[in-house]
Amino acid sequence: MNNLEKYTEIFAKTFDIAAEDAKGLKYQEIQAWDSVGHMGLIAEIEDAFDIMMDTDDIIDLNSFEKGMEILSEKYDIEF
Amino acid sequence: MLKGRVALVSGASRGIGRAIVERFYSEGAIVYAGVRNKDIFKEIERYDSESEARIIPIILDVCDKESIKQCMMDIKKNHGRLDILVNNAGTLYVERLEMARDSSMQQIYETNVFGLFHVTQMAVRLLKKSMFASIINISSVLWDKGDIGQTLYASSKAAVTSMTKTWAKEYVHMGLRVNAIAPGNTDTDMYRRISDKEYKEELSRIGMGRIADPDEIAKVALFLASDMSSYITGETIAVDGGLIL
Repeated sequence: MNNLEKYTEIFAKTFDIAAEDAKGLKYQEIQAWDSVGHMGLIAEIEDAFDIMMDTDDIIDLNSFEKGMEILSEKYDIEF
Repeated sequence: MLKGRVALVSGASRGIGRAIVERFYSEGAIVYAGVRNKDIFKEIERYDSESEARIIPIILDVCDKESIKQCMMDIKKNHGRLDILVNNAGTLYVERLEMARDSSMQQIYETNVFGLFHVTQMAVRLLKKSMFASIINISSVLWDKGDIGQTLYASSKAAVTSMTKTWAKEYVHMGLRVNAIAPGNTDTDMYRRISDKEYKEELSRIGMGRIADPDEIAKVALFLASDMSSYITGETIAVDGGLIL
């Protein structure tokens, strides 16, 4: 499984959505991605990629695409 | 009581923090002793092959976010979780209101409030992975009593107690307990800075007529870290020998 697949699966699993619905998803766009769901998402991302994110990055991660941008620019995760 | 539990204690080089590290170790825990200086690593580290308890010194400067992050990453890599966090690192300046320096205020708040906040903010992600998670914040008996010359220190410890209560509510549904200890006069380097005259005055205000040994604080930390206190959260326990302010 490549990083994009891994990342997409995290969204699908955390928010109980189909993988094809993860792309373009934004924070608070669905009920499951509220502040509690957000911390669950972060925990899954941190475990999957073996990182600990900075608080500013956790707050800035407000969409599927923004998350990819942060992870690749600041945590050397290639998509 | 703590066999196999993974603990992190900040400000562990001496005083109350060191006593807590030793007490947890004696109860079988794997204790990360957060210190700012590598020079004391050898003095602190220990391993008991029978209980598999360990004291593992680790660099932790609570005023440095990178240091906090590195510390948490190391614990995460080694154990994947944290069971007990003791926020002990703290500093003290005794200055009356009109003589209190901005620099003193900044240093006290950076360590006692912001440092504690940042350590917990990062550590809570590992604590949430534990079945027995407990946060213990070291406050002070001055948090609600105040005292002459204690504007900065007492107010910083009031913030610690307030954060304790708030976090207890935020995480109770996850089984993560958050409590505080409010020590009174304790035999530490920080306390020994006072003059003989002040020491005698302090003693006259303590019902038990003596100051606490750091291990008397550590024993309460052990209680709060263990399952003995499994139904307690959001509390601040004074350990002050009957102090009358």
